[in-house]
Amino acid sequence: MFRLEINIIFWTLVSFGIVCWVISAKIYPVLAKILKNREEKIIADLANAAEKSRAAETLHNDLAERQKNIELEAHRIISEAQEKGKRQAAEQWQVWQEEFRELRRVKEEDLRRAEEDFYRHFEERVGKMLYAACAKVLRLNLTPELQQQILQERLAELKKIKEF
Amino acid sequence: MHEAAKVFLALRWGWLDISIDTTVLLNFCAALFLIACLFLIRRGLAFQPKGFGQNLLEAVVEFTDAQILRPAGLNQAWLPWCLSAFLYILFTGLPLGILGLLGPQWGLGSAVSNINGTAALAVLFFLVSLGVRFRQHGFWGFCQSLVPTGVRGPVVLLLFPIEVVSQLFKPFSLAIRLFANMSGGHLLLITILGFTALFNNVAVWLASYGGAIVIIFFELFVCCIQAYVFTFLGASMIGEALNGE
Repeated sequence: MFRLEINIIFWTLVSFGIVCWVISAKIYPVLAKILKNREEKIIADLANAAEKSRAAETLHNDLAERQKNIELEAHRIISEAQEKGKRQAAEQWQVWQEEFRELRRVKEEDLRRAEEDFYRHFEERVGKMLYAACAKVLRLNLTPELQQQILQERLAELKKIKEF
Repeated sequence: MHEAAKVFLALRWGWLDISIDTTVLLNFCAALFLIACLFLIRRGLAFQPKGFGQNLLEAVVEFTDAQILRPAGLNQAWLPWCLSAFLYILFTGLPLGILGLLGPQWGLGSAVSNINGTAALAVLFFLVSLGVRFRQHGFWGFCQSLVPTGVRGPVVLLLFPIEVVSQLFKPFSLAIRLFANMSGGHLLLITILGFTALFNNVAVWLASYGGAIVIIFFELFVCCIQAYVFTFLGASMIGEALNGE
């Protein structure tokens, strides 16, 4: 039933030996080198990534600290600026008040002078006008009605000027 | 169990008959096919896997490492050996399924369906484990390792021969397991297809051939399982010799 077949045993061992030699000498070393290189690269990449992650974490913390400091600094600067602004605004207000009072005083002085000039010129002009009117009335041979009318007109003009 | 295979080339080496017959030829074809596949994959090996071949080979190597070497307690130095055994049994077993499509009698010609072939591989594993045991423990350690730990006195005389027999039976069980599992499917295939000769009926033909196709694909699966089981048990045998457990 079972027969010893030396040729099968022999050639099985030979073919297995050849396969074993091919795999051990030709295939596996190349594959193992690739796998080892890949493993080393993965380990190196992982270590690098962990290092970068730690650096990023440190940087993140540093950045958060700096941001916090910057926010505090900004808040302080804004507060100082607001205080300074208020102070400067108050000082400026005082200056403007002074300037305004000075300007007002000058303008009131100018107005008073102008008013005085006006009244002085006005009296002179009214006097001249009355003189001219009288001279005209006296110089011309007008009827009493016409003289009355001219005087009325001048008086009306005088009234208008006075109202003005 | 089976008829004598057809001899293609009659060779003799002293008193040894090393003729090349169908089984040997199928064995060579399978081994050559395996080597050709491996060289094809090797040609395209790259740091970043690109093709199906490299991915498959790396997966097989990872599988051998994780599922055979580590459970068996072997280090990476044994990986080529175990990988060779796994791939060799897998590829020499594949003709069982592939050539089974041509006819069951073709598939039965492959090496792992022959007890001589499986016995050769099992004895090889056994001899390697013996060599490792000698090298690791020396002669006295080798003899001591055949006695269970903690056993003293006259019980040793009883247990020593039992342990020797159990060691001797390991390659025997390995060879029989692989042979029986590989050839069992084909015997079933022959039986199922034999019904077509007995019953000249369309329904029987359809059922027989349908069942045969299912069994052929199942045999491919069994081939993978048996390649793993044989390699794992062989590796365990070496691991046991190496670690003394």
